[in-house]
Amino acid sequence: MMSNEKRGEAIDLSHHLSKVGQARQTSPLKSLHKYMGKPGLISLAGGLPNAGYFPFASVSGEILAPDSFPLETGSKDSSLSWFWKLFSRSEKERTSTFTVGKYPKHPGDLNLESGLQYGLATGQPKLNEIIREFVGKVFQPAYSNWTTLVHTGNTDAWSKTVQTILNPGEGLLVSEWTYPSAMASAQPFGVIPVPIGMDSEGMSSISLQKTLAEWDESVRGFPRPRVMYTVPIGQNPTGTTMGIQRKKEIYDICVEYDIIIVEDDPYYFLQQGEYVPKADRVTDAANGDDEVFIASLAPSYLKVDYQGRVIRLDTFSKTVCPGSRLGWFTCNPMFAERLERTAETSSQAPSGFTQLYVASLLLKWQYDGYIRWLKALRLQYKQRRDYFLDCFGEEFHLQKAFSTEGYTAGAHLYHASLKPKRSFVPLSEKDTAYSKPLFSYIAPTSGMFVWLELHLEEHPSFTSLGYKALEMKLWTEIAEAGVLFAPGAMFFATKVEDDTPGPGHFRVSFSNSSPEEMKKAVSTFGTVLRKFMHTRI
Amino acid sequence: MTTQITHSDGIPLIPEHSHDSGSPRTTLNGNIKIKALPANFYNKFLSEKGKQQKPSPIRGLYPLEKKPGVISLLAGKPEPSTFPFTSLSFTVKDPLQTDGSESTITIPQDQLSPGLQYSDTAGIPDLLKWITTLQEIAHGRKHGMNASGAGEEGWRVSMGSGSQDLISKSATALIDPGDCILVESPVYAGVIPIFKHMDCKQIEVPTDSQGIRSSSLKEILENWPEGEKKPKLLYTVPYGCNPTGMTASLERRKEVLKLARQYDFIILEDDPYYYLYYGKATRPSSYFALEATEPCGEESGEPYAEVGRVLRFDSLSKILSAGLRIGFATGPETILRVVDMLTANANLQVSSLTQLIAFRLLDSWGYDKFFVHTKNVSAFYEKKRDVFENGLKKWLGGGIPEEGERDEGRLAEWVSPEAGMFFWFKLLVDPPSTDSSQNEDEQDSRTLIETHAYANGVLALPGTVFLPNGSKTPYVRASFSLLTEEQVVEAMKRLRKTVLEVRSERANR
Repeated sequence: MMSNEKRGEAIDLSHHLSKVGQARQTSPLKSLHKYMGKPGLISLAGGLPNAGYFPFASVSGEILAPDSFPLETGSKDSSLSWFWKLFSRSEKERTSTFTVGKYPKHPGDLNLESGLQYGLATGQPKLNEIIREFVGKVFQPAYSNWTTLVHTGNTDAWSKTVQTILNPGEGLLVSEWTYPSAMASAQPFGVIPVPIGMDSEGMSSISLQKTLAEWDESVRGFPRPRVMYTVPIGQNPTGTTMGIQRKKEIYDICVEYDIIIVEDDPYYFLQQGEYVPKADRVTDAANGDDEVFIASLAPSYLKVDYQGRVIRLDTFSKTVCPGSRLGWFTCNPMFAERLERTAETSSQAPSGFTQLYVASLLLKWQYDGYIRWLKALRLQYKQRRDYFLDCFGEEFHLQKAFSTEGYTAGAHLYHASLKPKRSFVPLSEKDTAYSKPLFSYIAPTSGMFVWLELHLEEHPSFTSLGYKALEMKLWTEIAEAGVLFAPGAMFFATKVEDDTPGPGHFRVSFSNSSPEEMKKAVSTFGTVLRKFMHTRI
Repeated sequence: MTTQITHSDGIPLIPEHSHDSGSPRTTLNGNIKIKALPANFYNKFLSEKGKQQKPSPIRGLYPLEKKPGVISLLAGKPEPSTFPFTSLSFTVKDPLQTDGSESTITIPQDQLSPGLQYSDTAGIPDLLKWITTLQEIAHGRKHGMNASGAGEEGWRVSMGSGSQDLISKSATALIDPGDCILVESPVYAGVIPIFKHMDCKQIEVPTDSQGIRSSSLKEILENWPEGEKKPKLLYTVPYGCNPTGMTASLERRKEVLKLARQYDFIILEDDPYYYLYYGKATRPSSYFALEATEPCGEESGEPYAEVGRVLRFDSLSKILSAGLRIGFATGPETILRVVDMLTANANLQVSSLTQLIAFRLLDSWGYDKFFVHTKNVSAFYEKKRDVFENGLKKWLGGGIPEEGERDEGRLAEWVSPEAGMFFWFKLLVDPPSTDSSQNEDEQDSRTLIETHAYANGVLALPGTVFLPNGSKTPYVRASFSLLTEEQVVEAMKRLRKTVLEVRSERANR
């Protein structure tokens, strides 16, 4: 555990609470809990159902060993061996079992009697302990009195955060390309997105500084924003990763302008590093101990958060499973208390079953086992990304160029053009009639997505239809050919109209298709694109 | 579900409603014609925030993934082989076996996978189907299924993280700041902060031993102040009302429904204690059932009933377990669509895993065993009620409880509940002889509980927390769900001591 001795406590940030966030009172029923501790007290005050009549007597399950996935990317074996590791786990897999009984055998044991009862919105104590240890060791917050609070997934957490710290008519700092569901949650609360420019590390500190310094309320029509929403790792949709230097710069700006950072970080443990084309790729092995592994990951904003102005959202969705709907906040105690009040009047605590289930898993694995699992998980997604990008390399002709502008600045950009029809046998590279680049992308370094930028200027109907309409036409063609991409327009922070300038985009996920499906999807994309470029609409 | 992509505007669309949104659909229920209120009927009820809800951009495209053969690179669904859980088992009691024997349900890996992955916003399909049929059996409503997933009678089911979650979202979908809503009083304390944050005016409708007082409701509606917004909805807990424990009689329910039709408001029927009814009389129909059996007029000589005015909330908390965090809303598709969008933009969905566990349990039982189980549960609470009431009678009901005690007259007043887990009673802290014209302060049970009762080692909930507008009341709520007989006796002794203490304190003043 890191020493907290030199760390100060969070500063007072209560002026950031929204009107609703301030006004929420303790749920009248929950407020009585403070009277409950008295020995010998008979309480007629609660309204708890009798656990004797919960029909569940015990719950047990089988879980994989934490080292079920290798710490090395597919290498010495045949190049397809990792498919088998991924998709035919059934026979050789090593599992262990856990059982949660109705009543605790020893004090403090997980048990159904309390686990399936109404609980405090703060969640199962055992689970909280595990989470606390994990946050302390992995994210290492820079202030001492940070606290954690369970929630039912990051989307839920973000929605509760909006209600707690944002008032209608206020601005919200976001990257110009951003996760659309987060905007959909904030929009009905009357929150106005304020897009900030990006480069290949995500949000640009220069653009942020400029926006804030030049803020003119009379022009903008609302006060300078005091909250930022950011997905710094595996930026959704662009797949980029923000390093510590950039985070420090942004954090310092946020201190200067008194801004709360909401760090939505579901892809933290899916950091995959730079993409190396197939020909040059060497085996990647996660050697080294846990501390080396943790140090190899881009740190969280918590690591530079000496004032307690970061509300970090973590989820078990990508590391354990999304069906559990379970995650946690890490933030200062004042925000945590207000977020708990918000939870009390809606979803209350996350489901007792999933808390027990995930707590059982983590108790079985222990901290070391979970870290072992995460080390390998990262490599699984790295292989998926590599394979998927390799498919692009095979289907299209790629040209690599260093980008200096826009959201790709600072990274290598791959420009993809159509290969000549197969009936031609090119004599040499020079004779090959490649088309002009039809789309380009930077190789994602984290997360689950590749973000394609379309170049449809050569399309016969480009002048009549424009970028956005062509994006949707192409999307529809691809969908009708049996492949679903996510249309790009929905990821733009502000509303996109048909005549909004700028190229179209697709977000393509490589997270859960089989290798065969990935290959087929990319080749279908190529076929559709080839036909599309010759069809006047 | 059919899906289409519109080419005209280039935006992919999932048809939100394939049925005609303007004209009512008609089906038959016995000899009564059922007319489902059309979708556009709800325009005036949906709040601005509700109308602004957009389908979650990515989840809105999920239905396209269901087409066979489609390769979806749409969403960021994690790779299922990286889920560490490979099987799940749980042991459950068999409702038909009184010896407490248990059976084991095992969910193997292939069936567990969907429970670990993201699923549909409204709920996992298996559970939705099971619950829909349950509603058909329990409330005599016909679901059917049209192209948009709604029933022929215009209703369907949505799952939530407990019924409180759905009530909170329904309130958001329906209430604008400044709206007026009708709320029974006293009312379940958990909804007071929800309505309060909507900035709406809560008009209290009194309740008595027959449940919500429909005559008062009528009076309120008839004398509605000119210029005041008409009430949009009524919130009521018809069975084992929390806190009073009262169950609304069939007559009252019919009158309330009639008023809802006449004055055009929606009934939010919050019914977590529906399966905890243990009254002697036949159980009164739910509002959801009644709206399909109570004719509201005749059309060419035939009676017809208009449906779509009731939004019903059920909970699995009292009958399966509270920690499951599963509740469900049943009612008009148009409102539930907005509720689903609120879910998609807030918590995405209820945990697939807990839904799967609940489904496997319910499916293993079937409906017959489910009803046996709920009967067992309500019989259990009935016994608890009797124990508690015997204690009340003996120690606070007048007479000499045991040797060494004096007859102090009645120390409390109550009406015996017939559903749920609560007693609502008034502690008579003034001797019967005194004139009851005391000041308000003395009528408040809060200080009595927080100081005297607490000091004597017994805690009940002061009634004031159940009054929407926070006024004072001499009533307290006691829950009897968890107490053993010994604890009841001890609690009664302590309450008796408390009342007598306060009485003598007052006499000496």
